[in-house]
Amino acid sequence: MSSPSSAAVIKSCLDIVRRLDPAETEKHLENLTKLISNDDISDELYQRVDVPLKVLKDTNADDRKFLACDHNRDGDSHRSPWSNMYFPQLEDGFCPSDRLRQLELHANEVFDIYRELYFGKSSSVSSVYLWEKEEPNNNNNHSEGTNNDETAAGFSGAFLIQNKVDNGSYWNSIHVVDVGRIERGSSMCVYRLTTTILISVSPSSETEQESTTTRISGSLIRQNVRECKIISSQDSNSIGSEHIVNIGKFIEDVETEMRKEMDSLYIQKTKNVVEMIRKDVMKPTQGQEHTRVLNEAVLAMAMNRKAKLSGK
Amino acid sequence: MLSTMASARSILLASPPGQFDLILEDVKSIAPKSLTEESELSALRAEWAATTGHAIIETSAADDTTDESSDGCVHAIRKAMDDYVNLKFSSPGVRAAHQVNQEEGDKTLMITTYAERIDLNNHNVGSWKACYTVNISSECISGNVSISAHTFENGGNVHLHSNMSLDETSAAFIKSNDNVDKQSSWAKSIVKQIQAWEDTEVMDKLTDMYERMNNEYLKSLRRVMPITRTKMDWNVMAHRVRTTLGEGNGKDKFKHQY
Repeated sequence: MSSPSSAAVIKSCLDIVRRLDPAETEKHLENLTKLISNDDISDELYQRVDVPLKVLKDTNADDRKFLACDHNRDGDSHRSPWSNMYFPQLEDGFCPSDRLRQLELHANEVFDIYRELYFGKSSSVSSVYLWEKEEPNNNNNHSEGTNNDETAAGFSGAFLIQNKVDNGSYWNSIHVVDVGRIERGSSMCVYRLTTTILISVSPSSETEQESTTTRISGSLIRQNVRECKIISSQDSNSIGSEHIVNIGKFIEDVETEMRKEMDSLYIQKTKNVVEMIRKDVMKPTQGQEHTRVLNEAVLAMAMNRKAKLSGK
Repeated sequence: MLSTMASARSILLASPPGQFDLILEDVKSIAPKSLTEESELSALRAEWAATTGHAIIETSAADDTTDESSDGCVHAIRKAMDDYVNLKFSSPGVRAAHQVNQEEGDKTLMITTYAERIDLNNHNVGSWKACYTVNISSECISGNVSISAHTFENGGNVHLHSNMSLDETSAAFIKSNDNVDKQSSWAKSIVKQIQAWEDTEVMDKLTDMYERMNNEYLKSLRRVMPITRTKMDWNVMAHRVRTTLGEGNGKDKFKHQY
């Protein structure tokens, strides 16, 4: 039989990954790689599927932690957003241009503040990686016109957070943003954001024995687009700051919304599923209990009236 | 190739309830040359059904005998479990079955229940598997309940897996030559223990977890709002950082709180 097209293979792999337990995605990817037996397709699969982020230490920056993912990887090394150096060391690992690197450092420090507000100080880590977009004409000559600022030409970035707590539960945010080019004469910029949330909740209770384990693991992917007005002129230094502010607000809104959906739509749905299997609706909440008592009282009154009418 | 078979097996055995065939389709699409032997495939399917408990539904459907000839105790338990499963696992869309087996020369009874609800159209499936061991000679009962739920709509993929062990506890006494009435009330007391376990040890504990999910477990991972109760002021922070970075020398740039 003819071998399947790479697109068909990727599609089937993604279907499998999106059905199986997200907490074991790495194991499944390893097995899928063996089934695929094709390095190029495997590489593409690894780029398309998000896994819980790894934490590394930047020994050139006071042991400050950073996150490892495909976007800061070169070979088997990863670049730290703090010192801009690779671990393990690499002689000429890929780095963003000086200008983009300045913006990247700025973005990291601002995003770090966001991380502390929502995720707590000591158990979470954040990192931002920026990279130039490949222009279709591959024309790096910026001498045409006065616009030589990469930030006006648009760029891409990964904004990452991981929070891991004592009982093994974790949260990973992987936001990949595409910042559109700002055309001459325009003051609007389009931001396209793809967000993946990966979580695992392993509640532990004091009375639980070792052989009792409960885990909820989930992945949620969303794509959003937002258009923002850019106030700074295209040649100024503050355009980068504006991008950081626009992206930051966008991420904050999307993340908060997805956190709510994760709980109310998905996690609570798993509770409904169990209730549908074993009859015996789980203990009602206070509101439901109140309604039940009222209903019984009304029913009792109706029965009483009926009995009186029939002369019993 | 051996490693391909092992990989295919690992993936297929991890299939959530009701989705073995969907995943098999995908595996065959990725590696058409794997799992071509029907016997290989049947064995794998049987292994998955046995591990998940789904096999109980298949064997129960195939086995129609009322088995009057079996041990009185076994018969009594089967009857009591019939009533229990019909009471608790009969909601619309649920398939359920149970098995009672005698082991170790009449000294132990194994009671297994399996129930599943597969709703692929609405993107949710779930299963319940319970195993209870009744040790007649030591008058004890112990058990284990495994629950799984999977919801997968609109870019989401969320799994619940819960495995709960139920501590050995004393069960009522029964002699193998006791009369039918005694056996029947003994069986009912066993099932009553099972029901109590499933109501309190299993369901109540799960309820408790879900109630604490938003305000406790999820909150420890990511708050809904910062403690300040206002969203981050990105403009102020971006400006503040830019000023700090502009002023700081190389060493100070990396100063942090932890």
